[in-house]
Amino acid sequence: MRNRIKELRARDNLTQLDLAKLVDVRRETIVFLEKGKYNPSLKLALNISRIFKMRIEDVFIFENE
Amino acid sequence: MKTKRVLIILVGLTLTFTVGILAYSQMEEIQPKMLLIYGLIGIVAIISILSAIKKMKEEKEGQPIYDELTTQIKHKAGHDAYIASMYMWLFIFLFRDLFPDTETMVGGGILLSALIGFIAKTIVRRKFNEK
Repeated sequence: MRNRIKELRARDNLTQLDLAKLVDVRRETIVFLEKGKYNPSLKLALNISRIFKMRIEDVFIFENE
Repeated sequence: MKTKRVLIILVGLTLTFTVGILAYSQMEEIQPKMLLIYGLIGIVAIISILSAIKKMKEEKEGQPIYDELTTQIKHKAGHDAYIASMYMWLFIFLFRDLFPDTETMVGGGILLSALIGFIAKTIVRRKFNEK
């Protein structure tokens, strides 16, 4: 699964720390998400999508391997 | 939470200071084995102090101390460290003749458990990937 967090964060002028505070996680978690090293819980994925005012499937893209 | 961090820093500093004084007072006749034990105590104390300071800084920034990722890392590292510690204790009991007394054996085992915990957490953090 890949995501567009980094791109959307740049669009909205948000730092990793800003986004982390908005969704109530640690900055480290955002770093792991952007690197594709961690797949978030449904709750976190929904919260992130809401921050970017987008649908969850437009932020997190599932690719069959 | 802040009280806990301050306590960890205080205990860590006291431990480092005590170990430093002990090592210094025995400088002339210190055995390599004791030096290793003092070194291990010092490393564990310094790591706990640095980690507590880092957490306090992050708390000030308004970041939560735990979230879903840290909880998962903690659980996975805890499991790995538990298994590794079991093997370590098995080897300690198999080679118990190498230790001069029971206190050194148990103390060394406890110190190594702490070190294994730290190493497991570092490895899991570095390799964490749900894929």
